[in-house]
Amino acid sequence: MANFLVYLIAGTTSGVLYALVASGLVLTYTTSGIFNFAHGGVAMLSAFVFYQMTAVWMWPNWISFILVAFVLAPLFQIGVYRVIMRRLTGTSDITKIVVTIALMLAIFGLAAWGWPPDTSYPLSLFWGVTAEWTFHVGSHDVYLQYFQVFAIGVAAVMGIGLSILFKRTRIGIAMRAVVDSPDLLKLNGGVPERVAAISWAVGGSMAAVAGILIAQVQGSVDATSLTILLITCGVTAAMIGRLRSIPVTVFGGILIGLEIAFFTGYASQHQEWTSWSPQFGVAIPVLSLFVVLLVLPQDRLRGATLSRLRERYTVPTMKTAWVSGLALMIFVIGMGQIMGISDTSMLAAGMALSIIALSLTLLTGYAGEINLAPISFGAIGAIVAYHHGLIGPGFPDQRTSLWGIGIGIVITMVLGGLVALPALRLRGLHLALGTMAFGIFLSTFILSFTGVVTIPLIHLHLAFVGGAMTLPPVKFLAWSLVSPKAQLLSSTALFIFLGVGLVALRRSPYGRRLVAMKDSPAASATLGQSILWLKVSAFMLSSGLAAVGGILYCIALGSVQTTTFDIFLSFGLVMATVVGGMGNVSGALFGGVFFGVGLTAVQHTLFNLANAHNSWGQLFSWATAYHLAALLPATIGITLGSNPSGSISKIVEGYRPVVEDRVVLIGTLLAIGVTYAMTATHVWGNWWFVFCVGMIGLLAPLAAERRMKASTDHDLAEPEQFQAEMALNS
Amino acid sequence: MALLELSGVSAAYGAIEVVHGVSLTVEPGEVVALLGSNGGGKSTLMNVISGLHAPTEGTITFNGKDVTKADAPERVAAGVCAIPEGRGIFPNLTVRENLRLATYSGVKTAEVEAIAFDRFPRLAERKSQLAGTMSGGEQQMLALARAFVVSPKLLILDELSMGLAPLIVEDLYGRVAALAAEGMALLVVEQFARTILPLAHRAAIMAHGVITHVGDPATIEAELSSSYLGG
Repeated sequence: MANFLVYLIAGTTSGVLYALVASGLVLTYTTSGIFNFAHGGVAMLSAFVFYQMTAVWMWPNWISFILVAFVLAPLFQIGVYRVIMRRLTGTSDITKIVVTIALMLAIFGLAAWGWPPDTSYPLSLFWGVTAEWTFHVGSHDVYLQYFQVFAIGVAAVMGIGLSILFKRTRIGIAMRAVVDSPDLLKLNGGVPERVAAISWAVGGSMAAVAGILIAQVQGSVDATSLTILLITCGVTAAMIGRLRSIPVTVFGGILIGLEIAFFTGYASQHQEWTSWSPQFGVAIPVLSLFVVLLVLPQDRLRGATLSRLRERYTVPTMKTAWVSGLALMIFVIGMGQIMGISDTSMLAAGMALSIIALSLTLLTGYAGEINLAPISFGAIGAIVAYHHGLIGPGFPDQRTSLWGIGIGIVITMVLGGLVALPALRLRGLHLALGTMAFGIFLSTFILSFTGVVTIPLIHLHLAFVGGAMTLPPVKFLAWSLVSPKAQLLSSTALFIFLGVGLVALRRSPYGRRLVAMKDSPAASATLGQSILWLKVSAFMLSSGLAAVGGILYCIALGSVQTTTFDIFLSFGLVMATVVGGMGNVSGALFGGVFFGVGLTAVQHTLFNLANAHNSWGQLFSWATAYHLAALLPATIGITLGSNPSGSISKIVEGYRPVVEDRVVLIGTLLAIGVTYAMTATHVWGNWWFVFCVGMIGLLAPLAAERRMKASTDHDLAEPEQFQAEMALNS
Repeated sequence: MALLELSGVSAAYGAIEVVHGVSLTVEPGEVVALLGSNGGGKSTLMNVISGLHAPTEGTITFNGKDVTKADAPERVAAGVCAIPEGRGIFPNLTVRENLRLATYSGVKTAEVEAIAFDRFPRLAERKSQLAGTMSGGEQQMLALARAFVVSPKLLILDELSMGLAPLIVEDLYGRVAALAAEGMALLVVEQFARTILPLAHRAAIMAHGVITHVGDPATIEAELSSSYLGG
């Protein structure tokens, strides 16, 4: 009984704080239609700022609490809304999701910059651990901390306040009205931007209060664990409230808090559960999220939405696809000649990530189904290949067999098909959350067991033995992936083959059916298409692609750990692919290479700059370079609102004048050729090559445009000149 | 002095201009009917007048002030009330919550409900119901209630009859006639000329983004008959 009361009090305390996070999430979603994945990040950042004020600057707790929760966090959220979120009008679900994920990654980058993850940031409870009331229950003492009463009280006041705000005040009603029709609110005299900004500010306060108090419960501020806890618990509670009802959301938050407290508490008392119980904090809300998503009533099949969306993708011809593939192959072969072993391995890994990103092109770009955990599917393929495909006597002669790769792909495809079954009734945001839950469950629960776990009946081992996994290279007859250069060329060839295949698939009747389903599931169903078959097949093909990429990625990396398949890496890859253009194969290439190589390349460049220029050492120290580069992709992702179709289509458009002007085209190719020759003959290093090619790439379109303008001016001037000459002659 | 004066107003969606240099006036207390077939630019012109769509050229003067650059809330404050095409309501708010938003005009909540429920008793019966779950006619009553509550200087109605049964349209236009009788100026867009022309003091025909005819309702009705019937 005493234990029951202890768990009840602890679970309720955590639960009301989860409810607070979730209510803030519901508030911003209800008022702006944007599900803010960065909400947990705001809570985490607030906890760090609070730590800085109280533990480093020694400011009083209460002043710091009020300042962070009711001044800084709301101001930050207003800035986020005004600069980023309000530009997302008319974009698809995936763009909105990716922008908030980019913001979350940016917040992560900022937090890691300010408070390096390798240090501990302890945070004690308000009034301390010992400030408590004691009750006698039977022969046991039960303690109720002042902090717990305070946390429940603050959450209750904020929750009730929010309900009153929503239902009873004009600003609250306007916050809900703005989702239905911002224009109509304007015609009533309201200002939608102001209304939405206020709701984001209130949401920020709720996140900050919850973040600070949950960090105190946890005893320290840890960016990853705090954010994952807030995301999983907050999202689950918000979904229990169907992203509408604040009271049901509060109930959901308390339910999650109690579930975790009771499961963890009772499990820790039993020997056979002790190794599992630390993971319950994440596993329970994630499993609850699955259940909620599956039982949640869904909207009916929707009609066409394309006319309202700003994303547009063109489908290349087969000839263009092959020519582009050939150009890519030539480029990679050329790069392979001048790059060192580590750079070659890095590019091979990037190319493997591009193959994983191809799975998104098919699933999201063509079929409109969202998957936020592509690397998790890749992980399954790699793990199955590792456990069932190793041949040979042992390191360094061990090899991965084609049979192992095949079975890895097939099992991942089957799993993809199984994931598609619940996805049949999920769309858009709900599907995104479902796949996110799958990714988090896999990375933080399944992969966290470093012993061998055998699934009965089919006898599969889905675990990292000893915490790491080394997938040796493939060798089949004359084909060998032992050297990094061979891995790079094989990955590139496979990417081209699969990419061109995807273009062919998009142009086929099957591809058109996928796009029809994406544009209007209702019209597609009424035309006799089987939505079930289309979704299951798209998920299976996409999972197969992810498995191929995952296996090649592991081979390129050599040894991988459980963190290699972290959900945040999946988020990063999805974000980079959307930035490149989710509907195009080129977007997948950009996504994988930029995510796998671009980050490190920028870090190396900044680091080299710091080494070369001592006076810049302070600005470009290694840590600064690392964090600047980490912020770069997130910053690019945040700007998606202004160019939701992705950057590749815009870049190609920018180079059209170069292709049309033969002089500039030949000049550009010659300049690149000379630069390449200088690098190949070791006149200068690789970074100079990157720098020069970058400059040529920037200058070529400018030169072509200048020549075009000069030519146009000349044509316009000619008639006047002609008339002047005629007048002179007469 | 005209209450509303449009002078050479043009409007575009991106590079495509859909309203070309329209000039039109509405006098205080006057009912002006704007007629024309689909795609003629009527609704775009209404959005330009209400401040939802910025004009590319021309000036808009309301009550003696240049409001060309004023946004929709500023025009509401100046005395313009627009009920847009479709259902001018918030479907996910209750009837009472919809009415609550009319208080942006400065009228107290109690007064808003008293006026709306007095004019439309059906709304009182459904005050706690989500507006989106009411019938089309009831939704238009709720939209129209805002005009009674706010008492604007100019009421803009865009296709009030859209998708409604003739009896309901007749009832709604009876209410509109009551507003006109109180001296409110009205600019009414309608595809069904016979519904609005008996109420109008003046009418205009808009086609392909320009106003082709302006005149008294009888002349415009004859013009419409000859356009459609070739008579």
